[in-house]
Amino acid sequence: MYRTRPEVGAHERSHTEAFFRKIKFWNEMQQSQLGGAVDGLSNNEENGKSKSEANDNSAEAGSTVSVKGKKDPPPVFVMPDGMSYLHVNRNGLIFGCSTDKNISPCTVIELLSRIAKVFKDYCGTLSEEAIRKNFILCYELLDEMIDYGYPQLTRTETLKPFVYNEPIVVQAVPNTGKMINPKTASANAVHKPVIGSVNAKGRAVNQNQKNEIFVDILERLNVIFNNNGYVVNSTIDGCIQMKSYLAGNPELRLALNEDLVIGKANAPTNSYGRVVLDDVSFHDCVNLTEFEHGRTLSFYPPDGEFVVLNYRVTGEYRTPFRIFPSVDETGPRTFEVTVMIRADMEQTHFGANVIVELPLPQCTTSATCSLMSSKNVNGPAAEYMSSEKKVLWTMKKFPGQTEQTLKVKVTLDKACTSQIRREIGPVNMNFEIPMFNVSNLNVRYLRIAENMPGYSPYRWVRYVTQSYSYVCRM
Amino acid sequence: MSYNNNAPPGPPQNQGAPVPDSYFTESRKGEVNELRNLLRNFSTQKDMKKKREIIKKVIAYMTLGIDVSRLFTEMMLVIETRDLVIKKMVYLFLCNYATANPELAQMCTNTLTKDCNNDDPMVRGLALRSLCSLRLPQMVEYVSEPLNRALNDSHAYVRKTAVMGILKLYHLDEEILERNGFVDTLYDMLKDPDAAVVTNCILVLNELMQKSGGMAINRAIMLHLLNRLGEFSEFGVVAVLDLVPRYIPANQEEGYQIMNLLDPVLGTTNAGAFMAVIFAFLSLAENLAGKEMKQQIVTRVKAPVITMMTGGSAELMYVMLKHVDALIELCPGVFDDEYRQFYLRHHEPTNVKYLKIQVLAKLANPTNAPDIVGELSECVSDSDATLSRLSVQALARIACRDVGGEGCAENITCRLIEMVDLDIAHISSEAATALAAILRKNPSLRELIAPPLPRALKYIHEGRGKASVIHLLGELGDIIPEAPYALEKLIDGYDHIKCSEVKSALLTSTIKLFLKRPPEVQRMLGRLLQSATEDVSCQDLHDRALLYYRLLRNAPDPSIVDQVVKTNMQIAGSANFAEENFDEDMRDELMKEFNTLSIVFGTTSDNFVSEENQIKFVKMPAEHPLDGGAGSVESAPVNPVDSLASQVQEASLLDHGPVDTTPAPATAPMAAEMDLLGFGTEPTPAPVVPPVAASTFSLIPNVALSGDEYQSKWGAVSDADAHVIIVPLTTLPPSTDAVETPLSQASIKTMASGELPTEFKFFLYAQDASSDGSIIMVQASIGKSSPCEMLLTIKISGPGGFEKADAFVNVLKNALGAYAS
Repeated sequence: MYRTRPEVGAHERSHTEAFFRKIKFWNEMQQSQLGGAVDGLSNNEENGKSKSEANDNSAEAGSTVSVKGKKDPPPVFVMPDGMSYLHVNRNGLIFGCSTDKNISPCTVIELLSRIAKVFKDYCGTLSEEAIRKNFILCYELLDEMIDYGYPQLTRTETLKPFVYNEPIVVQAVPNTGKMINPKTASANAVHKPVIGSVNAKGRAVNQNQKNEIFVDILERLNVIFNNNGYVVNSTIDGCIQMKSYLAGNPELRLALNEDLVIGKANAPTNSYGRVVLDDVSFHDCVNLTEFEHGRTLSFYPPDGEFVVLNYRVTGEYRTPFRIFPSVDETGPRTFEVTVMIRADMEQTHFGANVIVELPLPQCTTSATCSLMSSKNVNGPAAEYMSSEKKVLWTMKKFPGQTEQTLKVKVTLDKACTSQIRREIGPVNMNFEIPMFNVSNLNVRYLRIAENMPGYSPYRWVRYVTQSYSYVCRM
Repeated sequence: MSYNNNAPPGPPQNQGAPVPDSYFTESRKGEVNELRNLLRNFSTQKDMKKKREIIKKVIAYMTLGIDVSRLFTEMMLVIETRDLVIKKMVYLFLCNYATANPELAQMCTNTLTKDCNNDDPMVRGLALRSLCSLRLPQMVEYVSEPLNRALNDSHAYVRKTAVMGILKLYHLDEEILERNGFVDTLYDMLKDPDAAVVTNCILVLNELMQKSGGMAINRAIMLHLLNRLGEFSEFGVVAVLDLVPRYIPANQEEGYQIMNLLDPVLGTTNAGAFMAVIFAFLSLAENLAGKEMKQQIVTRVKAPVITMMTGGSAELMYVMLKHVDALIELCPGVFDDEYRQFYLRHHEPTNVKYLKIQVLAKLANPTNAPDIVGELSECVSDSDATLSRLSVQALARIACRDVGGEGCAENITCRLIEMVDLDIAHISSEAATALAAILRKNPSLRELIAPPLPRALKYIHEGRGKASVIHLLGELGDIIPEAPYALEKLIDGYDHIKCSEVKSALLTSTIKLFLKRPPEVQRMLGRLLQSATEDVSCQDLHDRALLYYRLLRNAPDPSIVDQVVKTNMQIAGSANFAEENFDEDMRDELMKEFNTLSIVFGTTSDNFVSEENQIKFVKMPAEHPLDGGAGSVESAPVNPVDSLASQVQEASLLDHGPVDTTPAPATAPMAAEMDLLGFGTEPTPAPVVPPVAASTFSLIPNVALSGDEYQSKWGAVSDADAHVIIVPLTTLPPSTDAVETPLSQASIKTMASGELPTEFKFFLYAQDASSDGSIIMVQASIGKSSPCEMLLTIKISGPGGFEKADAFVNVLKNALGAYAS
């Protein structure tokens, strides 16, 4: 798998450590050349294409608390040894590689993401502990996925016949802290390695193996409100994600809304109530012959987690929460911020794990919060975090058709000026709405194509709407 | 995998779960010895699980970076096992420590070679892969025999591994290729029924042939691979698609066919394959129709590009944004209506945010500018200082380029003035710098900019911003009454100024003010000049102060000083600042390296990839004529015009040969550009026509030339000797006939002609009536877009240089009569 002459290259510990230091303490030294900066060049006589290493950085995990002024390193940069280093961060683990050639960064990023995905599929979860315990399995996977720096087998299901190690299942770590990629945050339904179902070769078959398939319709919302509650920008990034544990791998048929329109230009003038997607992309396994007319997809689901389709919606939609902020100056050094949030979705739905952040000026000396909640709201709490100068307002459950209000009385150490006023906000909201989607994209049905009597898999279809960037300006 | 021994303790090594995680506990002396004992008793151990545990421990130590090569002998004893899990681990150990123990490693090759004949293809593949990965040069000969056998193995997995093995051995011993005829084998294996084998063949050939630009491709190979595209794995598709940009289609039709074949790949979710298709499209367009088609392509890929960008991970987004940025540079305007996709999102990493801000500024047009300006202004108050600086710069860019339509520059100026007054150090400073740039571009805004300057001077402390304010005070001194007094304070405190940028600005501005308002400024200027000439901290400053001083003292007339000091600060009309003007040639070079790190780093690969790792970009096959740029005449493939144009192009290609070291063959249009810039090979490329030669110049009326002759004669004259001349036309001719008929009356014959969507194209020739009888050949094109002109590339077979070409052009002009102006 590795491809180096000794003394040089990414698998040398000193280089790896230098790489981590660089990531952790990234600093834009030349601000005028953001991203374009090539740090240092040296002619290294070496011969590596792209050495891949799964790096497990114990120091990094859990330390992603937002430090003021922290810069995120770009995924591609040149190190002083003259090689280009690429990395991706998944669940706090860094998967990195280096190259001295002019390779396609998209391909490499894709490959690194794929390695992370395959590890997750085979280990059940992607965490430091899972990799520690399954390091031999990971070695085995890497050996089959990459040969001499070139990608070989990269799909979970094609790898199966070549993998002999069995996973040691670790308890899923509850996702703590902020998730960079919410797509993975809520997919907590299944943490089961795929390999249990492999055993076509007569290895011990897991008796508990259930015939089941998980379908998630995930929508990530990006909304910006201005200070009077008007929606400045709103987009949805959606996907249908699946995880299949079906024995025999039968062909599946997935039907979407019949009147689905793809491409804004194709939308009929009277498209009210119809689902209009800007664009869709499909997984390679999907057969689209019936899509044009019946809006039906057929495919043999690959093993492990995979995205059947990605879609994108821009433009007006009914936002599930609306935010109305206001600021009143109550004295020369005091003011009061009111944030009212209204849940516009049906009563039957609710926002879960709602977190609202309200940054306050740096010169704040104290702030007291008071809440006005209607009933039904689970565990509302608001707290002023003096170290980070912001108010954190959390609700376990925020039912539809209700309103919640937060009032914060703020005292400053100097007189309030317009500059100081600008430091209030923006309000940022994080939430998840189970069994709800904004775009109205529906799975009409999910069937097994052939009629197989006695074959009754469990089908788990979930709709989840998440905030990705839900911001209200003050 | 790498675990830091000496790293900070990290998260507590899961308390409470002691046993299975103990692979990675700190090593203590003696543990390796303990392992040795365990290994010695290995054969007596019956339980497979426990056997595995022992080996696993060894590998864990290896991973930790503890040297377990001492266990090499013991590990070799374990190699004879049927358990594949153990086998894989032992082979891993072997590959890792073989170079440290070459003699011992050599001893276990027997087992490995034996395994290469195992019944199980997994074992054969595994053994071969390990055998090739030992990195022992002395082993190469041992390995080549099983390797040869494996290349003909019945199982694809083994063949695939063998193909990669060739590359591994090649890097140990380059001669192995010739001894075994591997290269031919690999080309043969491109027809292998298994796509994974073919993929590896492509990858290996590309690397073996790196010096000549990668695997040789011809029409048969290319079409074979493209037709099988559906069989390849995602990364296999990438390997095939990476070949397409280097392929020159045989004719237009084939080019379009390939594009249609590739179109479905745009729906893929693999970003690597996706970007490879885009690059393939852009390169094919280069071959087929040029710029216009690129616009179409970028429009076509816009929606999926954005889906790919927004739907993927943050890392992918960063890389995609870089490429989107390049596409925007290539085809400005196409992405404009998707500007909202580039708004910042709360959780994005800073590197993505910074990029988005820069891209947003490039998308501004009169329709969306109000929104974009509003959004950028919001970003200015972000708590991240870099982000707010970038936002201010983006606003300045929109104003300077004046892309935002009416009132936009004023709007931005007003916002920037507010920001100057914000009294947040970095924003005020950045905004002041932005205002200075805007004023240079747009002097009409001076009334707007002037008022806040004197007060801004008091609270801006950052060097660059302060220098900008001082600069503005100098520029606008005539409408700011208190300007001299604001500067006077600084001059009095000259010794306290640390930043030489501020000092220089102060010096220049004071001079400017002096020229505008001498009585008020004279005294302070004197003091400043004295301080500055005595200041030894900055050579430049010192010298300039001296220069000004002497100028003022010796110049007979103050207007001379005025001329010296007030250089052309204003930038006219649509021009951009020199530092902003992205070099066109540079961009073209960069686009040739699309979908590589070059786009991410914004510089061509020779700046960050060492020479031996450079892969030359060679378009193939040479017999295919549709090389980029020159374009060819669109018509039915059998049309002689087409084939002629092809031959002509081929000639110019061959002319340069494969060993040419210049990055791109200097095709005719490039030569044209160069000549226009005055860097041509001709010493006097003056467009002024010396009419001397015209009187003695005439053409033989009934000259005839066959296509072949034309081609060979054209090819015989090197491109460097070609003359490129532009003849402006008054009107666009309606058809090719309208040009050909008058020309033939003037003894200028047409070999071929044709009409493209964007231009008319002619291949003309004539013979000089003088004694040497040289043949004059011309490739001419008339662009349909304005300005209406005829671009002539003239080659003269025989003596006669620029004068002859010029005389010929005069004849041609006269013949064209009505069209030529």
